[in-house]
This record gives sequence, structure tokens and C-alpha cells, in this order.
Amino acid sequence: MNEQTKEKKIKKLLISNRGEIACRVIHTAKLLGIKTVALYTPDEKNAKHVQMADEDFSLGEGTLSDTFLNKQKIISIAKESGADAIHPGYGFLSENADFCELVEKAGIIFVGPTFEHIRLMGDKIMSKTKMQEISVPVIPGYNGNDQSAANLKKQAKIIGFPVLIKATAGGGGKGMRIVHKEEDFSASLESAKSEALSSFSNGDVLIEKFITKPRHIEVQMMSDVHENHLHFYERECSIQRRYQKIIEETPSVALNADLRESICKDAVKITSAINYRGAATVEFILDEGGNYYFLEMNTRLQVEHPVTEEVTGVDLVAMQILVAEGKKIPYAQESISQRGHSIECRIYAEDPENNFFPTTGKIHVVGKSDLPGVRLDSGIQNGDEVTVNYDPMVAKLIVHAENRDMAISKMQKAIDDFPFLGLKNNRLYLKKVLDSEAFKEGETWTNFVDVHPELFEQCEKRNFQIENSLYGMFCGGIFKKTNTSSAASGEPELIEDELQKFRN
Amino acid sequence: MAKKLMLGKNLIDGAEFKKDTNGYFVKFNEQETRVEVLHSLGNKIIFNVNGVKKVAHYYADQTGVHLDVEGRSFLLHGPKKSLGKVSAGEEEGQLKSPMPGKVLQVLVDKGESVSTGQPLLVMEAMKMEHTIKSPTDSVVEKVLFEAGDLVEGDVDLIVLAEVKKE
Repeated sequence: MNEQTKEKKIKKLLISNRGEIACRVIHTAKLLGIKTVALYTPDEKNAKHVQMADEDFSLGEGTLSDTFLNKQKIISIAKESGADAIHPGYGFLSENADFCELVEKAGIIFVGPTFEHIRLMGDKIMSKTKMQEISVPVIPGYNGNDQSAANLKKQAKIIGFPVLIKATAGGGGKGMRIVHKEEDFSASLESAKSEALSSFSNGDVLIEKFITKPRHIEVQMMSDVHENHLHFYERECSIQRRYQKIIEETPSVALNADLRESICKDAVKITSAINYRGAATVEFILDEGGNYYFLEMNTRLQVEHPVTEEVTGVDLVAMQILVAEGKKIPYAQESISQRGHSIECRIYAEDPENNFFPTTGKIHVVGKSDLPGVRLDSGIQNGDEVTVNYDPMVAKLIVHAENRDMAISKMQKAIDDFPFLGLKNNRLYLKKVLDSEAFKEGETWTNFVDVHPELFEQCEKRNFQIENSLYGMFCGGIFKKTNTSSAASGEPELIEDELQKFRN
Repeated sequence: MAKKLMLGKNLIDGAEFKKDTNGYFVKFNEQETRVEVLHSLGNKIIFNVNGVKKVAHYYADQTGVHLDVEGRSFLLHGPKKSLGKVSAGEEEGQLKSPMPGKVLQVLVDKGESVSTGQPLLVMEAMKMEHTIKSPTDSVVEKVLFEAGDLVEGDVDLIVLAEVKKE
């Protein structure tokens, strides 16, 4: 038995993260009987993840590089607390190969892949080359030195139309042309080159396959150190705003059984080829014709992992910990199946009635739901202040239902159950998306948000019926002042109406 | 009985309000609304608007009533009670930074006439641009920052002359 396959039970786990993902990891660690160590910055001393953990340590004041990105400090806290493993969550140091290497050198288990895996997949060029070696499709393109019109046209024909001509030095759409037919190529090339030359003083271009009606499809992977490389099916995350995913779901409406098998097999081919360890997500772009291309592999747990947990019934964090302990994944590929449909909505501190401007504020009431199959992953509790210090994502709302239509209606109800009162948030926009014909029909391409500006307009439009009824109820003395201490417990009592004085 | 109230940034003034047997009747913005409260427990109120059932979550504190109905959030408060340190009278003609950030562009000069919706200033916060627009037809009285300045949240950026209301 070599060093890597030796089993070692984790007794105490430090989570080098905060917010909902720290809570998520602590939750599973508790179920597994593992003690937990939370880290915090002084402004979050009373945060939910700190309260949940068995032990907590302050990272002190300072910028992120002094706190959650401070590798040495985190490792020394791990040693001081006697933690034998570190779970990095997502973001922060989760895909930092140096951190992973330092952790392992300190004799602490890194709940994740090896630093070599992180390094390989973190390098766009190296990972692409690897994909080509093992015949996993990447977006076809030409980015070479021979810039003659004849060669570029030849390359475009090899790639196959439609193609995208892009300025090598470019950005912001300058020097960019979509060419649908071969006969249009020369004219488009000339105008792209001259635009590139005038904008960037460099007329060089590259040519890429243009993806029509693209969807973001990713496959959840899990590998142990006993050469078991499993997949947990796909997630579709096409609904994005400014490259930020906002709604994710599984299964994807765009995959039939054959396509699903093919894309999942290719993902397994990748984790097998590099003899991966732990959780990963392989991201693909899927076009209208059912062709898919490798984009990147994330070597960590993904934000949207809960939808996979809901339909497969597998606790992915538990699997991560098991694998890190050197154990075998206790499932055979054939026994993992998709049951029902799951959707996740990300709730952001953004105001959809005001151009999605980031918002801050004190959350008085998070909310709760009595609906079965509704899950809220959040690091926020009643009374917490949302500041600009961290990511604006305040929670993930996840539903599970028998089918997609039922999941959509359940999500709409669930969104109403969690008001995050006191903080303007994007729930109204999420509801408008879920309620749109295009979403219901599964016309979910990555440009969804841009091609449906009417959904923003619906958010901005005032609802006078609601406004009038709130006015009426206020004048009627319906709203009672909330008792702060009882609000924090989620069960406020009604007390005397002190608002009376505002009304005269 | 027509009370003045602020609902978010909108003033409700001149509404018709009547109490009847089971609820309230409100007429404002050319909308006739019948509201009936079906159930009220803690922070949650279930009510009927013109026959359609809706749920409101609320939290009332010294700033007013924070409300959420179907994903729309509102702050309802009396017209005299302002939220910041300034009094209501001062608040009216001023435009504040919604977040800490940086002023990118100032689009108007002192003394310039501006119309409702006209962009006055562009600021950047959390990597996003935000345009401050004029809420009313007015004249620019003061410009308090210039491009490149860093600003705190909730500070005055531009002051407009007070406009007389009809």
C-alpha cells in the first residue's frame, strides 16, 4: 500500500472559508462525527458558521490577503487547533496549488485534489493540450502566425462555418465578426483586420468556431484514490448575468439519453486520464446541434452542487471527506441515478428595480418554508448585516420536485417564503425569469439575460395594486412594531403599535 | 382621510382611503384597490387584493415598515420621518451615493437646467457602473464631487434647487 492509498480518519476539520459554504461543510462534518474549526474576521465574529463550529479562530483585521487568503496564518491555526484536515470550500484558496502543497507538506490533509491536479487544470493552455491528447473536444480554432488571407480562409473552412473572427489583441467586441458563410469570409476578414489595426495597432486575428445557441453544461465528478472515477450527471447553468450564474438546474432539458451518456463519459475520461482525486466539475459548452466542447475543469466543490445532491441523493461533501480519508466511494456508477428535477436560485444583494446595483443592509427576517423539498443554503441569520466586504451572494435556494414544471412552480412559491427582509435582493428578477415562457420552454442559452430585457422592465414597473394595498393596511393599523429579540428567533410577537405616531 | 406616506422613494399623497366591513378601499394612481386582511401572524400577513390572495412579510422598526410582497421590497414610512441624519426638507432636492465608490463622470454643471430622468453623474462601485438620474425637472444648485473622487455611501453628490409642487 503506498502513501496515497493509506486510510487516515479525519477527526478535526478546519474550514478555510466563511458564509454558506462553511456552514454547508460544517453541517456534513457534524453528521460524520468530525469536530470542526471555523475561521472568521472580527466583523463576522457572530456569524452562523462561527456559531455552528466546535471551535473558532479569528484571522484578525485586514484585507483578504491578510485573512482568508493568508496561507501561512491558516496553516498555523490548523496546527494550533489540532485539525488534521482543511476543507477550502470554493473561492478563496480552494484552487490555489501553492496552498494545497503547503497544507500537505505540513502533514495536514487537503480535502481536495493534489496540487499537481490544481496546477494542470488551472492552466488554460496545458489543460487544453491535455484534452486534445485524450480526444475530448475543445472549441476548434486557429491562433497562428500565418496571417495571410488565404491561410485564414483555409483555417475557417477546416473549423467549419459559422466562425468568429477575433482580434488577437482585442477586447470589447472590437475587431470581432461572425461569419456564417464561406463567401462572406474575405470581406469580414478585411473589415475585422482594419478595425483591429485602428483599435489596437495590431491587425492579427484568430479564428474560432462560433457556437450558436450555446448552453453551459457541466458534469459533477468524484474520484477516490482507488481508481474509481465516477460522475454524478450534468447541471445546466446557462442563466447567467455578467458571467455570474444565477439559476442552475439538473437534469438539463437539452440532453437526451445518448448525449448525456456521451458527455458524462468524456468527463470520466478526463478524471481517469489524470488520475484525479476528490470532487471536480467539468464545464462544457453545448451548441444547438448537440456538439459540446471542453471549457475548463474546476478542481473543487461547486457553488451549485446542491442540485446534484437533490437528484442523486448523495452528500457530495461527505464523499469529499471520505475520499480525503483514503476510503473508497461507496457507490457503483450504475447505482447513481437522477430522480426528479432540482433547481437552484442564487439570491444576491442586488436591486433589480435599480439596475442590479449592489445593496447592503440588516436582514431582519430571512424566512422559512413549510414546503417539502425546499432547501436554503445560507450563512445569514436574522439580524445579520450584509456589507460590501464579501461576495454579494447571500443564499442559495434549492428545490426538488418530481419534474421540471413542478420544480419551477415550487421555486416560485419558495422564493416568496424567504423575503430576506431589510435587504433589497434579486428575488423579483429570479421570479420573472422562472415565470417567462422562454425559461419554461427550456430556451435557456447563455445569452438569456441579454435577449430578455423585458424581464428587467417588468421588475422596474411599479405594481400599484400592491402599493395601494400596503398603504391601506398601514392606514388600517395592521403592521405592528416587531420585537427585536423575538424577531431574531424567527417567532416575533405582536406588540403595541408604535407606528401610530407616524400617521399624523 | 388621505394620509401622506412614503413608499420607497415614492410619495403617496392624495389617496382615497375608506374602511369598510371587512377591509379597506384605496384609490390612488388611478387604481381602485380593495384589500382584505385574511390572516396575520408574526411577520406575515396574508391578504386579498381585488380577490387575489397575496402574502406580505414585514418588519417594523424606528425607520418604518420594511415590506416584501412577492419579491418586491418596500420601506413604508411617514413623510416627516426621514431615514438619514438630514431632515425631510433638506432631503428632497439632494441626490445621494447609494454605495461607497468612485465618481467616474459628472455630466452637469452648476446652474444647468435638468429634466426628469436626465443622467447627472456616473459612479462606480463594486466594479459596476451606476448612473444617478434627476428625479425631477430642476436646476443644479451644487455639484459636490468631481470625476475621480472617492465617495462614501449615502452622501450628497449633487444638490438640485427645490421645486415647487402643484
